[in-house]
Amino acid sequence: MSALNRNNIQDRLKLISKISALILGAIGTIVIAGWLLNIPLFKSILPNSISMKFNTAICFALSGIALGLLNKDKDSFLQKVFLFSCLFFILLLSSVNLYEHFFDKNTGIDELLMKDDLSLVETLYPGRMAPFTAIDFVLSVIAFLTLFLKLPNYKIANTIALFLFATSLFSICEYLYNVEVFANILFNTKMAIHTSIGFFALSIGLLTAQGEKGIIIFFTSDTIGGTIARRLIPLVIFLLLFFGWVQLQGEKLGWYEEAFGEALFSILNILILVIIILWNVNRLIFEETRRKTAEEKKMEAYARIRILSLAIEQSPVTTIITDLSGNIVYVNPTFTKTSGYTSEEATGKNPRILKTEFKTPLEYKEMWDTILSGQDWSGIFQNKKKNGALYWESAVISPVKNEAGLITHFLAVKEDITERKLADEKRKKDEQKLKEHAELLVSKNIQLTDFCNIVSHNLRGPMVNISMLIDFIENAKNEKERTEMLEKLKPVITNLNESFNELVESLQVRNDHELKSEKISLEDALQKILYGMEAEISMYDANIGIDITNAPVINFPAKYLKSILFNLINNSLKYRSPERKPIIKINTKKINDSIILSIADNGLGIDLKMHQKNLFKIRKVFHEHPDAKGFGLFMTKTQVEAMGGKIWVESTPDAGATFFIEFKDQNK
Amino acid sequence: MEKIKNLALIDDDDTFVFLTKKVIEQTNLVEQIKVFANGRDAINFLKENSGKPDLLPEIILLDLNMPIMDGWQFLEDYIHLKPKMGKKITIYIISSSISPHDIERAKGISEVSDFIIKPVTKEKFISMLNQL
Repeated sequence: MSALNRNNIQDRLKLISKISALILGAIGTIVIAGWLLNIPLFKSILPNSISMKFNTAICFALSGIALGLLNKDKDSFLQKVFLFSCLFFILLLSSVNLYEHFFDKNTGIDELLMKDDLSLVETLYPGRMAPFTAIDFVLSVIAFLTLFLKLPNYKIANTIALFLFATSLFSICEYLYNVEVFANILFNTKMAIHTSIGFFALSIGLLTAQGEKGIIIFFTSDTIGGTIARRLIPLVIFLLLFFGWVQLQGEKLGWYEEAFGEALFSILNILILVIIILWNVNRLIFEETRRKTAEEKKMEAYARIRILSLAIEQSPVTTIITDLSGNIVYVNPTFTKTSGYTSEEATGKNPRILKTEFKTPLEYKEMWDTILSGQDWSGIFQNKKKNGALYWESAVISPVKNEAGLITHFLAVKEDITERKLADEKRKKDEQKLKEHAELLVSKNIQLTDFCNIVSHNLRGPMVNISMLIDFIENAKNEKERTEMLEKLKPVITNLNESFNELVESLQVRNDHELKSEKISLEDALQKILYGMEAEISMYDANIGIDITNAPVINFPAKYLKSILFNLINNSLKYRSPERKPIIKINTKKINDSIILSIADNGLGIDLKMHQKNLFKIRKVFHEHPDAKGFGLFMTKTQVEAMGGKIWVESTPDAGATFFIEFKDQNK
Repeated sequence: MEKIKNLALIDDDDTFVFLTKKVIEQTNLVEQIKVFANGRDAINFLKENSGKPDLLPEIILLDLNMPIMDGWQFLEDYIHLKPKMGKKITIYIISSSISPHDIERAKGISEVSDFIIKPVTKEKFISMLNQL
């Protein structure tokens, strides 16, 4: 049974005790009123029977107040004083009374407050309460004290309450069967009927006032024993009293002889008791069966749990269970295997013992928000083993809810994905490498194709001419023709020689891996080159504007930079428009790790639609210029690309061209 | 064998032009040889004379590697010009290139009859004419 229900029972017991207090108070008040206003019915209830004495009535009223105060949840000092006063007066009145009974003295206390009314029933001692009444009150004061002082031994109050219960029952029996037990055995003064009822209430009030202690447990127990006690005891008391009374009445009315009545009611009692017992046995059997079924179910559930536990224990994935505040309550052996923490080390700790800086606090907050809202969370952790080694885990964290739907635990199921992750990273690296290799191969292949073209166009062409010329020389008809052919041979060989040298030079650039970059002042380099071109510049009246403040220093092999600048500026002058004076603008711009150099002119320009493809190829010319050889741009591109850079051009025919060169790795 | 009236030689290599002209003249099969130093000059000529079949060449010997406008660019332009031509013109590529890539590319152009690797000898020229 839950704590809630137990509190409920405590409250109910308190309530019963309070009702008892009210009954006591009511009895006392009614009888006091009866004495004060002289109403015989209030004094004795039954006509021609003993009245409750005024002192008894006062004692009941005081007991009622005392019981009420005892059951108050909060007690103040004033209350304590009041309670003690009540007890004191009860004790005073009852103990003096006892003294009178035992030593046969009259102290005058009996009629001190109220003169007895002898017109009702003859009493031996007017105004004096019955001896058992006095004994009960003295004992009740003791019981009150043990309860009030909260003495650990509840048995005293319990025993007294049971004694009170017994005396009241005896007294009720006296009236019921019209016999005088007490008067005949001990004393010759009887209790009034409502005095008996008062003590009945007082005994119940005292039993219930102490809460679930002593005999009351039989009645409040939520076990089958409690159920049977609650069913049997009141019923047996009531039925046996009732049948006894019926038997007696039958005899009095002369329906049957005493012996017959005895036999009849013995059988009746046996029958009734057997029925009651069977009724309860039935209940016991039912309970037992239910308990057995529940036990079997429990065993089944237990077996299931054992199998499931085994599955978790032997599972290759890590399982962690934490309580609501995140403290570990369970880890499986795989957890120990992956993290290095034993179950004992981990239990009671927070899983953040594994934490690294991989996840931000915000990500952790999002995770908590998700699982606290009752949803599953899944993701990847980078965690730290006990020995400090890092590992990766893919995890699913779920809230575990109870029957009421409230989260009680969190369950994390995690898989070590370190190897997978490493393999993944390796695969990515391999792929990247492969890509780089492929790119390199493609570029080498393009270079090879270019080389093949160069060989077939630029070397094979002159070779063909030479072989044809030699044919003609051999077959010449006369000396004149032979001389003519021989003269033609010389420029072809010069051309072949030039082409061959250029080719060798370009191959050297491609393979010149040893060439070191150095920091070169662009201004110095330009000055030297422009100095060498002074004659042309002044002849064409060229205007050369330089703005290199953005990136005044370039990290590049000096030889190449000189060659690049020379070729581009030279081209701008060579392919100037005949209609305008050349204007050349040289700029630099820094972008991240690169410097972009641009050389813009207002010359003839290049028809990019036609020549884009061949722009930087060897022996490709785009203008009918006597000095055009198709080597400058080819060489420039070779030099730029040898250092990982890029070259490109923007141009409008007859408006000018701008060459751009990107120099990489400028932050070294 | 019928004589060819006009033949166009498009090549920038003076020596090669001089020698090839000589070879063709020796065959005595061509009346007139026109020489263009690059594709642009040749295209301009064809455009100007598209309506004059007498001036248009029956055969064009086209070099690939030339300044201003190379052989490939010439072919691109020629494809657009062809329907306006008042005469059937047979084009041979004459190149020093031995690159399989160039040969493949030439085969892909229907206007090109064959890819002839330099030099052009008398025998090669006669067999060319025989295919006409």
